[in-house]
Amino acid sequence: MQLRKLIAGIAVGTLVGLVAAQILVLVASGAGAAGTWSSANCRGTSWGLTSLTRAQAQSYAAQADREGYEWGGGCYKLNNTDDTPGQPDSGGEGADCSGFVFKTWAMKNAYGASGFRFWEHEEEVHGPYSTASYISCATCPFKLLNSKGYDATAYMDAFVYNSGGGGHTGMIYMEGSGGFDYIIEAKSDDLGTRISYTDYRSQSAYRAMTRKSWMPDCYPRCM
Amino acid sequence: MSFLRRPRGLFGRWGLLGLVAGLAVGSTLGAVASSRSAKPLDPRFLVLHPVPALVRAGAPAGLIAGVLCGPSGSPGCEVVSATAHVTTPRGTTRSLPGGWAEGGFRFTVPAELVPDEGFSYWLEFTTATGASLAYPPSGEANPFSVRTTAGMPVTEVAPFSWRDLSDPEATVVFLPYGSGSGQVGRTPGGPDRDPLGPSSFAVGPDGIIDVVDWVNDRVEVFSRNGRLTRTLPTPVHRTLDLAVGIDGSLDLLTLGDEGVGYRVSATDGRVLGSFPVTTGVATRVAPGTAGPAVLVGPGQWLLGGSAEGSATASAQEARPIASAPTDGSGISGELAEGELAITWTRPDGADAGAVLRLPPGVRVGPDYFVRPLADGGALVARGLWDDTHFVVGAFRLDARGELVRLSLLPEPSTQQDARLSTVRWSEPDSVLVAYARSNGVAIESFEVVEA
Repeated sequence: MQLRKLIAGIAVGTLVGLVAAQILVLVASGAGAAGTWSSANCRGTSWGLTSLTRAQAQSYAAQADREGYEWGGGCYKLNNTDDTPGQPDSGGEGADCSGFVFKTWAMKNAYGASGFRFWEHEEEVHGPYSTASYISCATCPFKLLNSKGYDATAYMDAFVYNSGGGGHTGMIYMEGSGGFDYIIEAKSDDLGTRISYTDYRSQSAYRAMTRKSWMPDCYPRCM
Repeated sequence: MSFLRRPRGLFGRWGLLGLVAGLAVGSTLGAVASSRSAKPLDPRFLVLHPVPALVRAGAPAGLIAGVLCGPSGSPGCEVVSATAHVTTPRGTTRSLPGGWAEGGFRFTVPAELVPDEGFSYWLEFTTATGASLAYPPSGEANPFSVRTTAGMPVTEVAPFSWRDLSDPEATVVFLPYGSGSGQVGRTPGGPDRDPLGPSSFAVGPDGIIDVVDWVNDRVEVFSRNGRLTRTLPTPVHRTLDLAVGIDGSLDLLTLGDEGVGYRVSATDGRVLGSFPVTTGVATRVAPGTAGPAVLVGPGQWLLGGSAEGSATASAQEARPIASAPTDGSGISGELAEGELAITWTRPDGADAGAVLRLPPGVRVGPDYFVRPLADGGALVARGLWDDTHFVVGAFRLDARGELVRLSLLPEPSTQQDARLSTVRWSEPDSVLVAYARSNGVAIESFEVVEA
């Protein structure tokens, strides 16, 4: 009798547990749908860094390739998929162009602050900089370069414009030729975050910019 | 019966114990079952490599190759060595180790391996797991070919003013922004948003103009006098580039590192063939004899997608990668900042070429096209730029490679994502350029070939 009760209890408990777990998942995803994708999926954190190399920034940016784009957003779920395609301004996946540069360049979330802070991809943060501020801020942890020539830039520098009713920025994943480069960028709701071979370098509206205080890739074994 | 009365007899103490245990087991199983629905990461390895189309003979040639691999941190993604296997037409073969610097592996092909006849090479990467990866994927069987400028005449291009721009002869087509008939979609711009308009247009031999309206998932077909004649659906969203196929069909392409090429009927948009672009970054589509040819990086055209049916990824990887498409175009390449080399095939089958040295401060820009002409010469359209200017340079070369004329055309639309498809050749003597205006897109015609 006791064994029968024990078995019955286990059976009922297992059933209830299974149902309860599924309900919890549904409730969680329902909250996401009723709220936003980012509120349901973004659980990242951040921590201070003492330095950043271009190679580290390149590796960080590469992980966001094929993910989503969200104007004003900043959170990626790294699964090689745009989780919220074609859903503009709805708390979806991805950073926008300026937010992607902010996170990749590991900048602090206070306008003009120097130093470095690592942001997990899953952290929903855009940062304080727009394309306009990338161009205009003289005291920020980045600066415009005087030349757009290949000899003036290096990989993980960026090109930026803000004029004519538009603005955009993308980083050099690897330099190319003929005014083209492999660019990694948060492009648009439709095109997501991607790597492309494109000509920002030679377009007249674009300026070249770099992060201040890159740590040399060779550190600490630089000759 | 009181509702406060303790229920009894259903499970008892042992039953309660079983219930607790069951709850623990069930909830754990349920959580595990739910978590298994998450999509696993897709491991992949993408090689980014500009192939130098033309180099100087007898001088060292630099190569660079970057890699993009995911999931990041896996040993399968860690490249521990890279080698360039170089072979000359004289039979010399050497394996050159690459060193990692400035975002990629760099190789220097020594001068003795760059004879007048050029050289061929393929790259090999070895990962921390011992796996070997070849690029191009067919490796030694179909290596990249590099030509040299040996024997080409060198011309100093006279200084010019950035303001000395040619006027268009006519506006061939004007498409107002919108989703109606004859209109074209555009995503809005803003302080932190890049406005994106129609992504590409192409011109057929008969002068018919096709425009990809990717926002509205369609191709709009215009007669040579600018009248809309029909609209075709595109098979997938984000179709960003197109070309008029050799048989009159349309070749379509989605761009990026997971591009897909399609050949569709120009009559009704029916899909005739398709293939995944498994190599490089799809940047442009051009007509090919066996199917679309896709530019997957500088100097590398993935040939012969699929004229019919669907090609598989593995079949695609075995295909050769050429330095020019198979539509008769020539090749141009940047030798150095401000130095441009061009080669093409004349109607008599002989090769022709030229080296152009641009005025100080002028840099070589985008490679729009090299069009061989009936008189043995060629028309070359390349971007020219400095830190604040951009123009399209239309170079008219004669059969000996001498510069006959240079026309400067205003900067094309920057709202087309297919960047190399903003400037097109139109038979018999015109260059068409797309311009983004405040209320629509204008395709304008410039006559640049002298009689």
